Amino acid sequence: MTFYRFCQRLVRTVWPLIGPLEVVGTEVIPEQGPFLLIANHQSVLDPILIQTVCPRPMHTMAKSTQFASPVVAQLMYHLNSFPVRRYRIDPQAVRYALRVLRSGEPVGIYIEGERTWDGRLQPPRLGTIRLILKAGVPVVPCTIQGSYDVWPRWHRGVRRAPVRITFGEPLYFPRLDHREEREAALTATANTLMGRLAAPLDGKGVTGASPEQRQAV
Amino acid sequence: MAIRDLFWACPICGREGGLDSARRGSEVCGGCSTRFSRGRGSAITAHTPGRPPITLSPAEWVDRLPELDVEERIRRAEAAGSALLSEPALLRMQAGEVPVYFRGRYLNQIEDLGPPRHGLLQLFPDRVTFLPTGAGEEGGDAASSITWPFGEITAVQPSSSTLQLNSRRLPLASFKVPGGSIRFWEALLCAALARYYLMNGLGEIIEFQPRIATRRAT
Repeated sequence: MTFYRFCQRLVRTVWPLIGPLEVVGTEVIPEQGPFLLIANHQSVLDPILIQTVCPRPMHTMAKSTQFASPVVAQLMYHLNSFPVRRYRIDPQAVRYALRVLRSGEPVGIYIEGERTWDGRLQPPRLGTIRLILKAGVPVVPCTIQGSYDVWPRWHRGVRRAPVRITFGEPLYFPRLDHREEREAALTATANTLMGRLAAPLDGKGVTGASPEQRQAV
Repeated sequence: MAIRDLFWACPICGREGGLDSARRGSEVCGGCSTRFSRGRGSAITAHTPGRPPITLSPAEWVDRLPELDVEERIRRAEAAGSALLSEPALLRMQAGEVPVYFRGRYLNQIEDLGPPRHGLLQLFPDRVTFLPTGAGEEGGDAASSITWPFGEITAVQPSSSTLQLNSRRLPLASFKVPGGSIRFWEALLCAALARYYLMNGLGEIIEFQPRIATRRAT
């Protein structure tokens, strides 16, 4: 945990050189017990910033390709990241996330599954919604704004820009043990959650197909 | 990655084929000579010769891109006997999976990608092919082309500057198109796959990751 805290302090010290960082709603984060932090994904900087300002140390799901380099992998492990293979159904990533939650610790997931290309919020990955309904723990919606202006996916350079991170009031979705129940609750859960994530984004809502259009039959 | 990954066509004149790199990170359209550069924050400014510069957000620029009409593209490609899209690419195939542990705790498996191979990536209305450089030529790489029929593809996943294809028969493939737009490849491949599934009665694709999921067409 020492390295985790060291990184938090380092980012807090260095970030003002890049721009102002405003954090709203840290008081709503549960002081103890498990929760899922569900965030949008604007930039490669998001995990660094969110883990820095979240008052509780958090485990985060990260794409497996990031663990290919031994140096980066070591950094990821020490920052409590665990890999998910996004090109296939990955039951081990789900098992690991549930195990962490059962041990009383929080898990962070970027619900869009990848960084936005054009700055707009993308549709949710339904696998994350299924995990939420399987876990039955409080869900803290976390909206990050402005990190796209600092470092968008299509550019290599960092620019100065203000960043705002908003933690929303926790949402409580019931734990559903049966697959049929989870599938039936998928659309409503996705709509509620994405609505809460989109609220602080100044109308830059979900693009592409709606969860209704995307739900498997 | 670059602006050309975001703009698969010029949003000013509609010319496809990627923008060309120019000075200081900007990119130029070979058709109308418009130079695109990053402005304040994430804004993109277009400098067209003889016109005042235009600055818009990436989302506003993306909304100005020409429509991705896959039917028309397939008609044109079939008439010309060519691929829908064809570009030099780097391919890395999965050689295996590696278990990862931290402090004795098993986390997961990660893909172990093999060495990169240069070649030509082609998209057809019913398949993706990769022709390694020198394939079939005397003294060249003896390996023949690799084909991913649409019916065997199980997932299409963009990852940073690469496009990952998973299939039933072949290990995971990871492509890079250094001169093109990986976003365009993803968009066109997904549109062609969706059309293929509908035409073959396989249903309407609703998800491309982590696996292609469909619902019955109504």
